[in-house]
Amino acid sequence: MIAAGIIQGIIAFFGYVALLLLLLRAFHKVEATFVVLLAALFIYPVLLAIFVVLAHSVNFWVFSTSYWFLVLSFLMGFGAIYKSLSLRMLLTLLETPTHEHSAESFRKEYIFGDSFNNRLQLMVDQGLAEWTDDKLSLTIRGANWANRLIILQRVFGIMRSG
Amino acid sequence: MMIDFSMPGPLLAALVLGFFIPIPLWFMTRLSFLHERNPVQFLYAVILTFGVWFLAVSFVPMFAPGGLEDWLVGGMALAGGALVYLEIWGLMSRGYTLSVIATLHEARRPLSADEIARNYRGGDGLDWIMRHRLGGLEAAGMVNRNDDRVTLQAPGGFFVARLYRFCIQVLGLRSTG
Repeated sequence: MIAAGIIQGIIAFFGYVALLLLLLRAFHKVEATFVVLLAALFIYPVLLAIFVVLAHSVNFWVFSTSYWFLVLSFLMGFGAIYKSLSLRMLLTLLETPTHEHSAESFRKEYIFGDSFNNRLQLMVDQGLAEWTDDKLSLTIRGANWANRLIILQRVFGIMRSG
Repeated sequence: MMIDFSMPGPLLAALVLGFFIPIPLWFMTRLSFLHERNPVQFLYAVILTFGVWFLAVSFVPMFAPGGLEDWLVGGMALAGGALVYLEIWGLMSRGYTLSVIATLHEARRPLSADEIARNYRGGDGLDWIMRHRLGGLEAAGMVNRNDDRVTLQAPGGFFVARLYRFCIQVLGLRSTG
């Protein structure tokens, strides 16, 4: 029963990856992070129900543990691929014929360009900050987030993030 | 047709200990030789938690395993819990957007984009990210830096860049970073 639950969890994970590969191509205009998370949440109960019907008996905890462990591992890798500036810089170097690039260009393109502006826009979209006369300020929600962050950082001795 | 809700002992131990990972993590942050070494603090906290879990499963009857599979499931649960906390820890210690929020909070007044860039990370400025990320790639032997020129280094840099490109293609991602 236990071993069967692990195998079912592994099969469910590969089902998730297969579904994800289709969804990311079909909904490429939707934020990929949402697609990845929603697909994981959607396919979990569906495949659990399918296994209950097909295998007649499924250990809930073993199936869930196996599936979510693999999904979380995948999400960690996905997060690195999707958001890493370092990896993006490596790819730029690979795709440049001489495999060389100016540090100043990296700075302009990635640090002060899209990446920075995307972050500011994300904060506005999520209701954490708002523009007033070309200046950005935190909303009440954003200030609450900042307070919680700073308290947590102090408790765990984190001097600064970034 | 039925769903079996019986829980293997090592899984129960992993769920209990996994939930409390912040306690050993807090302890690690108090050790002076680990001061400001956030990744190492987290690694040691997880190793300590796995050690306690191993002892609990080995010696506490209610957590006793029925077989090798029980160990595997418990290990996966504990590692899964560690991954959740790692994500939170990573955001707290390296989060780019969170640091922008903290910068705005510390300023106590609205800031233009240029001011945010200058005041980022307590006055280090956004250039700090550039120095930090390029310094990490250089230390890992993936790039070589000569004044303003950054060069991809073989074999590590090429391998990771090609693997990254392959992953983007397989996942069908249009934009990253």
